[in-house]
Amino acid sequence: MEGEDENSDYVDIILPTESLDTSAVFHVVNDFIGFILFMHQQIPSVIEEMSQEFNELQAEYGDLEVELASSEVKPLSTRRKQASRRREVKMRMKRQENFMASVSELKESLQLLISEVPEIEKISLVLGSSPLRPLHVYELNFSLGRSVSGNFSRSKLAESLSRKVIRTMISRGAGSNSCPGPTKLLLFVKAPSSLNLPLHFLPKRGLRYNRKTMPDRLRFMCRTGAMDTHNESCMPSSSTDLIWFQCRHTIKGLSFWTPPPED
Amino acid sequence: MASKTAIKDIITLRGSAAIVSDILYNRGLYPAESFARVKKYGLPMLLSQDEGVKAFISNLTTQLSGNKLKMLEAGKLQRVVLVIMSRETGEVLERWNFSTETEVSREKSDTEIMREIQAIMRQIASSIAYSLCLDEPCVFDVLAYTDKDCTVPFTWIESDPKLITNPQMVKLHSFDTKIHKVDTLVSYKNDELDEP
Repeated sequence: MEGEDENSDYVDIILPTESLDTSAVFHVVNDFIGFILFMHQQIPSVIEEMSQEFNELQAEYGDLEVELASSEVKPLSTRRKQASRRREVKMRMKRQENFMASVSELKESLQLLISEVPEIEKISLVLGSSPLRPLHVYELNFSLGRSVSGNFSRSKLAESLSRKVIRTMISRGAGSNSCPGPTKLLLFVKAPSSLNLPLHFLPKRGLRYNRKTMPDRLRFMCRTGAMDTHNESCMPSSSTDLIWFQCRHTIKGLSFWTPPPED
Repeated sequence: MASKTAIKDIITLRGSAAIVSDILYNRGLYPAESFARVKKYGLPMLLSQDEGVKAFISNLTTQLSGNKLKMLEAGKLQRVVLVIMSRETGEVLERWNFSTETEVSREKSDTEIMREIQAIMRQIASSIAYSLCLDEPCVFDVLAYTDKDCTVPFTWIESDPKLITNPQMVKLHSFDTKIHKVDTLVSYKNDELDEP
């Protein structure tokens, strides 16, 4: 982004391979998004648990609908309890539905982007209302060759990479200085100016963020790239035709109440 | 003052005991249905209802603090380590190391302590969510590192440290009460993809 300091410290994530397939790139970014949403208290539990909970709520809602529509004679108190529970479940589902939809849209955009631009090198995740008012910024740099995978299925390498990234960021205290309260997650990518996905990405020329916020910069490198910074096979391409694009889909955190301590 | 100290120590130990139970649930060491969801420290946590596990953890906290030996209160307890091992081979797969330091720090409210425990729980949840599933039956054990001159309960025996060779290490937040500070470090068996 404009105003960025190229000499800022990077957190290097060293891969055991010389290149990274596009599916792995997708899964790492996707998992990282889930991680920072949780660690920055934007969601009450990890996304996998939320998905599971959502499925359970849907199933329960379906059962309650069947029960209440049933002509079986039941005590009034039972029907009231079931109706009340159905309202509660519906409310919880609605809250989560919007969130899950936004996550799904962002994921789809990311997949389309990576399919169009497999050699994507820089992705920026901003937590905050805008890049000018960021609360936290994470920048993912992919400094190694790319191979195109046929689909976005999760490989062992992708799992291992996600694990490594998340453990590294936990050790660095990611999210430790966050405050509760919903905010937005914005996705920016550096891609060729010819990128044409107007339903998902819009150019953001002259993108800059508040200089007071230091981004956390992660750099994915192969082993030989880490040992020899002049190894050309592992260095990023130096295309000058790259501009920033902002994803049209943002994720808004959920507000959830953390009760005071019990005795 | 003495009673406040006792309360803070209990928070430290109870916090650690609740975290242990949560780890056992999340790592699938016991069936999910043997855990009950409760609210502790402002978070939903999963406490084991298995009588054997409950008794084990309860005895553990009693033996480490609050009984005649008062290892924690006397500052003689250095670390408590939760070790997860393969039931079949005994290989150590994970090692959760809780180091305790006796220090006098600034006064802390229960709310602050709770926030710190919440932060650690988030880290644990994240760490576990992306960890490899333990797809073989596992068992756990607890080690305590004490000062050499510490009198230990007779039910405890000396042990090897049950270390993992070339582990992946994850450092979690520390949390502290007025009297003790607890640092948490997790060691995982390395991924085959990370081996040189």
